[in-house]
Amino acid sequence: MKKGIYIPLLLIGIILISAFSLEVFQKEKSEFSLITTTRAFSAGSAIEISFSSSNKIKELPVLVLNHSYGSTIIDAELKENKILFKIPIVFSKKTGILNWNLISNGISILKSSIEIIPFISSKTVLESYLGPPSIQAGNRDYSMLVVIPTDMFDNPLPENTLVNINEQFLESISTSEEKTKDFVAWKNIYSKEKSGDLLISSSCNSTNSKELTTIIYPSNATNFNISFNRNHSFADGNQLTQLITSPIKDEFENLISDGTMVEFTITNEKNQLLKTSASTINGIANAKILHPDYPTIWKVKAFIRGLAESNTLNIPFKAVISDFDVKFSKNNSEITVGPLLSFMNQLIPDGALVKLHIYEAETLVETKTATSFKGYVIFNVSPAFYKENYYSFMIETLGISKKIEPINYAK
Amino acid sequence: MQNKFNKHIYRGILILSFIVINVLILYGITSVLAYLKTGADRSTMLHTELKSENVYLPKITWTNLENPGRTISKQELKSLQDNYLKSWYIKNIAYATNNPYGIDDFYTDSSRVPIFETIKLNKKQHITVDATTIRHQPKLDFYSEDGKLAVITDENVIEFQHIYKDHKLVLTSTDTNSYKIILLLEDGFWRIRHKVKIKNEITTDSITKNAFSEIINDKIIIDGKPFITKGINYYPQETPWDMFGDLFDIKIIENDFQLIKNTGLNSIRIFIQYEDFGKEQVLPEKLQKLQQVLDAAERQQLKVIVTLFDFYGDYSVLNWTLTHRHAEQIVTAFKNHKAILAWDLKNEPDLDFDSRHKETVTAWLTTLIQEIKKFDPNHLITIGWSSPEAASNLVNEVDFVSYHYYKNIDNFESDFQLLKNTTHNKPLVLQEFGVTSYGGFWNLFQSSKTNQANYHKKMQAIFKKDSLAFLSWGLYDFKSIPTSVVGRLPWRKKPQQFYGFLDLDKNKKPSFLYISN
Repeated sequence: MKKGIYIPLLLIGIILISAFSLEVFQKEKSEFSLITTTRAFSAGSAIEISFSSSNKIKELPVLVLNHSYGSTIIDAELKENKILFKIPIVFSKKTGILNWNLISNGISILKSSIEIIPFISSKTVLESYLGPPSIQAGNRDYSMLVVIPTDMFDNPLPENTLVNINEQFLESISTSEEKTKDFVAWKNIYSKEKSGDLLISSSCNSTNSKELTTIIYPSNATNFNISFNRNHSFADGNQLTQLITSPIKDEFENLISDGTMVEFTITNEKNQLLKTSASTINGIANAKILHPDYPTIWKVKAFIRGLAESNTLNIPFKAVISDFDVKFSKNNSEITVGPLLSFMNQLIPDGALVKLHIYEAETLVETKTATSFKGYVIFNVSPAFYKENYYSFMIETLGISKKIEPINYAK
Repeated sequence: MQNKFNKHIYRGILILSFIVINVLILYGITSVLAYLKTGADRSTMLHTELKSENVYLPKITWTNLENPGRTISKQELKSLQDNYLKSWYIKNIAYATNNPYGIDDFYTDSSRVPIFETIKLNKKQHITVDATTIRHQPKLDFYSEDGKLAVITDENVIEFQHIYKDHKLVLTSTDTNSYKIILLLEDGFWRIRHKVKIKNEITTDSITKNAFSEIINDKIIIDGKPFITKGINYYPQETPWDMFGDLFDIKIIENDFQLIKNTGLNSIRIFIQYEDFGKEQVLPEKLQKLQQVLDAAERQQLKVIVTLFDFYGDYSVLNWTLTHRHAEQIVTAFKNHKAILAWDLKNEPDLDFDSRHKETVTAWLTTLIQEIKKFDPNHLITIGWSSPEAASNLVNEVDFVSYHYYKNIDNFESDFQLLKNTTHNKPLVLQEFGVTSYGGFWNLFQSSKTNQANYHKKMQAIFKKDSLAFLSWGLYDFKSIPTSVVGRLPWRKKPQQFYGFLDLDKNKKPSFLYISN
C-alpha cells in the first residue's frame, strides 16, 4: 500500500529530475548525481535514495547517514544502472532532518538532507502530564496540563495540531482547544472557589487520553470564633474545660482541611501563659484543658499560626473551698490538714495540692508539698530537723491560705 | 597384604574427598548467602553518589530562558544543562563502543529504542562513531509548572564525527545541526523524551575584531609595518619546562627579557603545559603568572608566541571539549594583550601522527583553531610543526606557518624553498632551530662550542640574506632536563642540555655573537 503510493511519486521524481540531474552533473563534474527528488518523506515509509553514475562504477559508494538519534553507514545496491540506498527502518521511522553524505573511495562526493515528517494519518498516541497534583481553592492557583501528541512511531506531531482539553468540576464540564507548539499543547487549569476533585482529559485526532485528577484543597483559614464548655465553674484542678472553635472556613466558605492545627493560648491573672492545641475535623477544633486549682480568670485566644486568629474569651473560675481545719498532734510533729470540702461539701477529689510553709522567726525554713488523699493531707514535722524553738506555719491550698501563730516546739 | 593396603588407600581417599566436597559445598552455600545479604546501598536510589567529574564540557550558552511556563531557577537550569550534556556524552560513548551502557539514565523508555536499534545495526556491520559536540546554543521553549518537563531548542550545535567501518575511517565531518528536544525529570534525572533534528536557524556571528596584527601576503604586519620575527625560545635557566611552577620569579624573567632585547631580538616563544595549567579548570594563579610574564615582555617590547597544550597527547574525540575549555580560559583572559604575537596551538603535533592517527590530530587542531578564533579573534594562530615537511599540513587554517629545523644545515635553503612552494604565500616562521655545543661521550665528541657558533653564524647569514623570520633554541644551557621532554636515555638527554647561547654559569658562549643578525 505504502509502496503503491511511492512508486508513482518516484516516477514523477525521475521525470522531473532528468533535466536537472544533467545540469548538476555538468556543474559538479562529479561521477554521481542524485536521482531522488523527494525531500520529505512520511515516517515509517520505505525511503530510498538513488543516484546515477556517469562513469562505470568500479567500487560501489557508501552513504553515511546522520539523524536525530545517531549515525550509520549503509551499502549501495545496484539496480538498473542506478545506485540505490535503502534507509534502514530505524532511521526512517524517526522524524527530523536526515543528513546523508555519499562517500566514494573515501571522498565525500555529494551531501544533502531529506526530511522525515510525522506519519499523521496513523493513530495518534497521547501522552499527558498534569502537575502539580493538588492546588488551592480560589482563582489564583493552577495545575498545568501538558499533552504530547505523537504518531505511531513516537514522533511528535507537527506544530499547530489541535488538542481538545476537557475539564469537569461539580456540575460544569468545559472543553477548550489548544494547538501544539514546540511539540506540546498545554493549558493552565485554574482552581475553582469550591474544594473538590477536578477531572481533566484530553483528545487529539480521535484519540482520547485517560482521566487525570487534580485535587482542589480549601484555601487558607479565615478568622473564627471560639467558645467553651465546662462542667462547673469551680477551680478544682480536676475537671476539664473544652475549648471549641466555630467551623473554620476559607475565604470561599470551604471548611478548611482536616488536621489543621489550632493552638489555644491562655493567659491567667498572674500573666502566666498556658497552651493547648487540637487539629480540626470538619473545620472544628476541640481542645481540652484542666481547670486551675485556684480562682482566676483566663483569657483565651486561638490561632492558626500565621493565618488566622479567634476572638478573645474570658473564663472565670471560682474558689472551690472557703476554709479548712488544721490539727496538730503527736507533740506538734504531725500536722493534719482537712477535711478539705468542695463546693457541695463533698470531699475534694484526691490530688489537691497542699503547701506547708514553715517559718522560724519570720524566715522561711522549708516548704513541704503534698496532695490530698480522701480529703486529708498529713505533714510530718520531724523533731530531728526542727529543734526546740518557735515555728510559725502557713498552709496554702486551692487558692486560699491560713496562717498559724508561732508554736513552741520546746518539750 | 598389598590388596589390603590399597583398600586402605582407597578408603582414605574416599573419606578425604568426601570431606573436601562437603567443605566446598558449605563454602559455596555460605558465599551465596553472604552475597544475597549484601544489598545495594539505599542511598544509591537518590543518585547522590554520582561523581560530578568534568568529562564533557562543550561550550554551552543559553540564548533564551523566557518561556510561557514556569520561570527556571539557576539550580534547576544547572541540573537540566548537566543532564542534557551528559545525554550527549553517554550517547557518544555508546556509539564509539557500540555498548549502550548508561543510555538508560539519560533517555526515557521509548527514546532509548532508536539508539539501541542503531547500536545493534552498527555493531552488526562493525561501524563505530567517534563523535563530540563542540558548541551548544540552547534556548528554553517551555518549562512546565511542576518543573518536570522541559522543551529546548538546541540551535546550531557544532558536531564533529569520525565514522569508521571495520576500523577504517570512512568520513570525518563537522556539521551544524539544530535539535528540538523534550526532556522529562524522572527519578532525579533529566531524560530525553523526544529529540528531533530540525532546520538550522541562520545566525550571524558578531565577533568584534581588535586585531593587533594582520597578514598581508607573506608578511606579518604590526602597526602598519612588516614584522620579521627575530626571536628565541625561552625558559628560565633554573626552571626549564616548568616556567610557571613554584620557583617562578618574575625578576629573573624580566632580566632575561632585557638581555634578549639588548641582543637585538624582538620575540620570544614560551610554553604552557596543559596539565600544569590545570587542564579544563585553568588555575587562576597560573594565569596571573602568565599575565606577569606578558606584561614584562610588553615592557621590554618583546612579542610573545605562546605555545599551548605542551605535553598534551590524548586527542581522543570525546575529550576534545575539555581541551577547548582549557584554551578558552587562557585565550579569553589575554585576548586584549598586546605582547602576544600568536597562539601556537601545539608544539610538534606531527610527532603524534603515528600513535594518535593523523586524521584525529589534524581534526583536533582544525577544530581548536575555529574555537580559539571565536574566543580571541585578535591574535594570530600558528602550529609549531617539527619539520618543514610537516608544516604543509593545515596551511589554510593557520595565519602563519611555523616549522622547526634540526636537520643538516646545508639542506636548509632547499627545504625552505620546497616549503615556500607548498604554503601558498603564507608567512613562514622558523620557530625552532639550533645545535648542541655538547661534545662528550654521549654524542661521540661530535660537537663543540665553536661548532655551535659556526652553525648559528651560517644560519644568521641565510636569515639576513633572505630576511627570514626565526626563533632559535634556546637562551640557556640547562642543568637538568625533565624526563618528560626527551626521555631517560643519556645520549638524548645530555645534548639537549647544551643548546643555549649562555652556558650553565650564564657566560656567553661563542655562539652568542650570532644570536641575531
